[in-house]
Amino acid sequence: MSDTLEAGYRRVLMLLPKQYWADHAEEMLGVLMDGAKPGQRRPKAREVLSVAMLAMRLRFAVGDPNRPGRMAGDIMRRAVLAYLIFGFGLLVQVDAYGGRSRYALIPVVVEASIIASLAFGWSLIGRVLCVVYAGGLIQHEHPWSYWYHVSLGDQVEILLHFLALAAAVLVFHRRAPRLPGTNWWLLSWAGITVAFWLRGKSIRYMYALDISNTPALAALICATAAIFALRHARTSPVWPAALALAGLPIRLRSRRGWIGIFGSVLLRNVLSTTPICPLSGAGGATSVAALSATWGATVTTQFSAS
Amino acid sequence: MFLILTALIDKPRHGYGIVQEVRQITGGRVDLRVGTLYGALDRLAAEGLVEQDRDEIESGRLRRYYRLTNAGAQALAAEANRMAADAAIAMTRLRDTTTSNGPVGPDLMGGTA
Repeated sequence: MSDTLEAGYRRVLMLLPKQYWADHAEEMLGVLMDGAKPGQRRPKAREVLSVAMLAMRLRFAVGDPNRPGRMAGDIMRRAVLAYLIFGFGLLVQVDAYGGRSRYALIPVVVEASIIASLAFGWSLIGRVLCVVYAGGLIQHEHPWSYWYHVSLGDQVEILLHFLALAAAVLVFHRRAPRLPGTNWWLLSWAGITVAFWLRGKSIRYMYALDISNTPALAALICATAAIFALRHARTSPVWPAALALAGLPIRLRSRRGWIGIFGSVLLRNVLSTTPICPLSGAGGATSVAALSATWGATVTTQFSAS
Repeated sequence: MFLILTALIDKPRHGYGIVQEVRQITGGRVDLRVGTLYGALDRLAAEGLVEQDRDEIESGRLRRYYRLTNAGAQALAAEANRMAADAAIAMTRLRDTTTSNGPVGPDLMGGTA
């Protein structure tokens, strides 16, 4: 067996969570190398997929909510629900503005049902609705028909929407614990929805649908998210991490062009190039996490408006 | 799960040994992937049905052997009985159906026709 093959399998095994890797990687490597055919130089795709699936199950604690991967699952569930709630706010904003003449009600009802299902712990219903909604988006929004005519940033934004739905299906699995604080989720959802609805009623042109053009609302949500994250950061990293994750799909393009996710965060926060700069002085990872969580809401604007 | 437990009945085996034994038991029909194997071994160990037996180094590689526990043997026996009962019901109904509708093929009659 070649060293190349062994190195390849070692890289694949790096997908496993740290503790699991420490406990099992060597024996798994032995199994993989024993199963390799003479002269094989690259890892088999089926084995790679198998290890990747195991890694995903371990990291999201699928099938066993008491495993160490529980925290990753907790973070992902909060991140996904927060993302969906912000996305719902943007959808309501577009509808309040009058940006959608067709199918205006259906996405609102379906997204609201998804959020309610996930918040109340009805994971099966929520997951089914996510699949149905993704299918509906493909059917009615048909983004693929103009795929090559939109910018890379817009393509990423569209894919992120599907990614969020896929993530919801994955992390709100059958044995996933119900998210605590249902009332707080519902209250936040209602507040964000009302805020975005009012904003949708007040704007006069489509371009203004981008939340970064309204410093007041963005700053309000940023401040709320920052305070919330800072409060919880003392006891657990789950909430700050979840808000950071929800905010990663931030508005990717800035005035400086395509600079990538983290570059955009740094430029927009540290260098204060946007109207949200009043919060940029908060400093620290938590404030960046909270800020980026807010910007995560902007990614679906154009998609929702289309 | 059933096949892995079956593979461990006679003696402790390491991961690749289990893969080979399962392949042999099933006549090559089941080819366990490493992720599937270790996912199953984790669950079986968590339920106390298998446990680690010993570690050995062979040709510079770690071999971790797993063995069936008493609880695992009992669970396997219970599952085997359940499957045998299900199979018996299926065969009985097939015979009844065959009797009323005519022969449906030698295999369904136990391959003795």
